[in-house]
Amino acid sequence: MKKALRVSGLNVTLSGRRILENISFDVEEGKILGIVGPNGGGKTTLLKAILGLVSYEGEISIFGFSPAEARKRGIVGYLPQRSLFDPDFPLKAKDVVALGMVKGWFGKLPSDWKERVEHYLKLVNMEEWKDYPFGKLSGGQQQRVSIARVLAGEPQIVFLDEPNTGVDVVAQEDFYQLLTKLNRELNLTIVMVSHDIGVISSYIHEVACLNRVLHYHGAPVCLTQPEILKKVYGPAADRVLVHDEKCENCGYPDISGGK
Amino acid sequence: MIEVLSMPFMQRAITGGLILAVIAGVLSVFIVLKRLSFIGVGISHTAFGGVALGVLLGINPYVTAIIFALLGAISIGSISRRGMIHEDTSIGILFATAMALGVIFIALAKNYNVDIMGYLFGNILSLVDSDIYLAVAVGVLILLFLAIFFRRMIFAAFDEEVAVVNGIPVAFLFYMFLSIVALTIVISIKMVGIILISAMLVIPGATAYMITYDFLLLTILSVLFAIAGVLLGLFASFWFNLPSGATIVVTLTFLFLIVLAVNPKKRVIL
Ligand SMILES: Nc1ncnc2c1ncn2[C@@H]1O[C@H](COP(=O)(O)OP(=O)(O)O)[C@@H](O)[C@H]1O
Ligand SMILES: [Mg+2]
Repeated sequence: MKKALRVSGLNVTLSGRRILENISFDVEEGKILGIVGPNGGGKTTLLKAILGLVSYEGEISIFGFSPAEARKRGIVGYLPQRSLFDPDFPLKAKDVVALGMVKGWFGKLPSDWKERVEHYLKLVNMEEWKDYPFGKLSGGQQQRVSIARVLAGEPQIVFLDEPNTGVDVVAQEDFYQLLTKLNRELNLTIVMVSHDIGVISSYIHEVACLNRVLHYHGAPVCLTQPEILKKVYGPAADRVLVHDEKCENCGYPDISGGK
Repeated sequence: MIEVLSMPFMQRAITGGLILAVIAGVLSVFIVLKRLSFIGVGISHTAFGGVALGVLLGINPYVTAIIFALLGAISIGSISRRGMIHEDTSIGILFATAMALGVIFIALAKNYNVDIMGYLFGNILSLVDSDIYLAVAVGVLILLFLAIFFRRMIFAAFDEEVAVVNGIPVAFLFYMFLSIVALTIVISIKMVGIILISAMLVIPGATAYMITYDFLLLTILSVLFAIAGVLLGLFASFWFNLPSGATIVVTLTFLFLIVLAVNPKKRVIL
């Protein structure tokens, strides 16, 4: 099987502080990798290093290309951790989705760009909002439009940083179904940072537990193993697991309020 | 009125003013979106140091002004991108220093015939044919660049990180944009002057920004406001015998205040 992503011996130091230490892992094409870990554990920094947005030591290859080369070829999609947008910015939801297809130095939008915009807005259930100013949408709606933007670029691998922040529970469920579908139909490789580690365990193929170092990379079973969670999250591990109906006998009390 | 329009100096003023209005109208959209208005002030004041050096050395002040403005643009740009010092701090230091150097150069030149006020505040009625040719040449280049990269510049202004990941040359576009601003400032010296040009680079975009959420319409409106400001200001300055650059800026501000009062986006104020 083809390697979609290969990270080896990755170190990242920001402002003199070592944020990531000796991280190595691979992701095969067509897999969904979930990255979990406490706040400040370096998840966002890991994605940025992989995309070449922060300087790093070590080796990174995306489908055999360096981060810069992969960006140039337009094969990566990125959804940053949610940021605040100027509510008056003169872009409508459909314009934001169209930007996903704007790549490289030159080059026009694909001839079917309008259909693609409609298609991807529909996929995230935002088609009625296409003429609405992006900055005036709610946080969760902006997030869904941003996901449509990533998908509209039709990348081979996507990096999603907490894509569900601000998205309500029903939409979250839909979103994971959508990712699973895209993953299966398009063989799209997905790397996703997430907080709801109980829920994602049933949608992802592999998990990486990150807190400066990579504590675990493998099958999502780690999410149900107290000792690994303890290593990653420390004594607060008890409060991390959002209990999921698919996860039984994991040794943690149900803290989701009896779902 | 017809007679006035047939006078060559008036025709040159209108032509030059229209070219400047179109360029400034488009640039001001990005200046407002990226909150670069203070950078515009910084670059234009830096150009004054260049003008003064040209006067001192007895060479064409436009040449030295272009060099100063471009150097100012690139240094302000790199300081701002690296984020070592706060941008407003570095601009505050740079432009005051360039102005101070300018004053010293002028004093050293002891050439009392030089019309410093003309450089600082411009006089659009004093344009000569070569000014127009220069404005046309620079204007065509600038508009060509903006036409090619317009969408990518909007992308970079909206979400820089994602633009980088999509392979958009964000840093190149940023420096090119600042260089274009520097060139625009230099060709506008004779028209509205170093002190006032920064207003033309902000007000049209800021006015249009209050009206629409559509970036194409925003750009068109911004250009129209710039044209209206230049033409109305020009005629007002002619009829009432007022300084042209200042009258143009005040006219632009007047249009801005009207739109602000109408508040088309129904924004909650206070
Ligand atoms: N530009 C930076 N300079 C210095 N430290 C940074 C920078 N960006 C992030 N950090 C630090 O790196 C650590 C990891 O941050 P981040 O990757 O955002 O974690 P996570 O996404 O897992 O919450 C945090 O302690 C944060 O303070
Ligand atoms: Mg993060």
